[in-house]
Amino acid sequence: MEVNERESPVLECRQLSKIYGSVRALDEVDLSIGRGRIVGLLGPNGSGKTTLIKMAAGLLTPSAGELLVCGKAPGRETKKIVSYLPERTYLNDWMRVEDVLSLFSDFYQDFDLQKAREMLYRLEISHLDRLKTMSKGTKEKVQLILVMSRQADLYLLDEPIGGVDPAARDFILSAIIGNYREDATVLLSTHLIRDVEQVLDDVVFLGYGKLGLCAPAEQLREERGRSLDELFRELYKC
Amino acid sequence: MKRKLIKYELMATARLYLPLFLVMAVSALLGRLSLWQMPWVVVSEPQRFSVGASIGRSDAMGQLLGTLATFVIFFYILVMLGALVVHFIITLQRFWKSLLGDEGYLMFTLPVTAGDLLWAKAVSAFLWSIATVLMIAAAILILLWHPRMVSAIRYQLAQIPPDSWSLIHQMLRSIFPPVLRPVLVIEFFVNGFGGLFLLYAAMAMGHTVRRHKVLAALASYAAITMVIGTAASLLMGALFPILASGVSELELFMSTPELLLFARQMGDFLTGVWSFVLVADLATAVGTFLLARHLLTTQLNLE
Repeated sequence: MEVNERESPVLECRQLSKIYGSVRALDEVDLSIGRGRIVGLLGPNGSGKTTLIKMAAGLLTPSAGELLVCGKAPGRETKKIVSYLPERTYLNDWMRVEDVLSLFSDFYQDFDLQKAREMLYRLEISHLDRLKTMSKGTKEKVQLILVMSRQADLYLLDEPIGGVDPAARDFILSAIIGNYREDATVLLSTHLIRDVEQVLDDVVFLGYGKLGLCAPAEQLREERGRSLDELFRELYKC
Repeated sequence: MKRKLIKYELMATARLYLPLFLVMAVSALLGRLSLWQMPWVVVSEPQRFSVGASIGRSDAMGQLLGTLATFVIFFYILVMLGALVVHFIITLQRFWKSLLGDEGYLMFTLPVTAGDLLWAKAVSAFLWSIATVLMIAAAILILLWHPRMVSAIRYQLAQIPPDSWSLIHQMLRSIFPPVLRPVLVIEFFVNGFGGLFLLYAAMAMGHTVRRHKVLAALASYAAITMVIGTAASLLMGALFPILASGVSELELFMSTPELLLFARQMGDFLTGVWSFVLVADLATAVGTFLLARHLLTTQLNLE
């Protein structure tokens, strides 16, 4: 299935499968995502959203099929152009914010240090603060700032609003919309559809490892006569 | 990128090692203070230096006090050697946690290769190994240093006749011929890095299993060392008789020319043995590095 593919796709999956023992976390997924879109990867818990994102980030290897980022298999070259926000805290607790900024500046050529500092300043997070003294929500904000301060081609955001309060959700969504490049793509996984519905250009529904609906958000709303949230509830009713 | 990775790895590990070194230094100082408060621990004759003996007392109490001092020293040296165990645990933990745990989400999304990550971990661990050994030596010296130690050593060395010095010098030059010296230096590095890559390969293998990853890593380590050990023993078993055939038997009373001939033969023998060890360790280091890199590149599954 193709999602608004303009030129060459930024993310492409061909017959992509991931199998854990007897569980098929992803089952022969064919997907192509173009540039300049905010794509919602939607699905219930355990539907394979995180698995797909982690494979695109190079943290999981496919059991079968192929996944390409800008035409390349995940590796050093794709990591230069992919900015990944995991669903967990992955920064060293002993580090200060300044240390993390230095780390990102050192390793990512596309990291905009000035932008990161400005966003931290707006949130009143001191660059001298140690991560271990921060709340979970603040750490998640720092991680998001780091990820969105890169000028990447593909942003992979795994449950960016999962564990934060509604006010923080607003900040996160505005940070996503306000900081990505026009020709870049944001792939955002969540099951909190109501909160993200308005920012999505396209949606990809994933259910129990299989690809479901895959189309522009507006088109789906018009064709089905309901919101994405309502559609999701109908599709994945327990 | 390797340099930057090494810099961050050293920064991350320094916060573990520096407190450890501080504890070692303080323990050594405290040990020294308590030890040198005991007046019976040092033998006072200028030609003899001994710690743990009693001065001029041959009675039961003297022996008891001497034994007590020996135990104190033994305890502190054990504490210092415990630093090696801590170093080993840190080496394992740094790989497991920062590459295969949550921190791996950061490390494996940096634009570097798995090989770069392995090198950074290994270089850092190797440098800390050297620092730990030096620190242990320094701590033992802090614990036991006494000016009389030097004068006693000097006195003992002065007892050796000048002719014997020349013979010892010639024998050492023959036992360690110029060709063997670089082999030993290279082997020092190859063995150090090879040992680390072996640990990393075992952990990477263990991590490919879905459950009981630690147990699988231990089993992998046992399996790899068994394979390498068996192969090395078989090869060495075949090679040893050839290398040893040129060495004459060491006898109790040998003339100087016979001793020098023996030293030369030993030099050739040791060169052969260490060259074999170097090749075997190099093969182990390269093999385990490639295995670990392959597993972290194509079999990575951070769950």
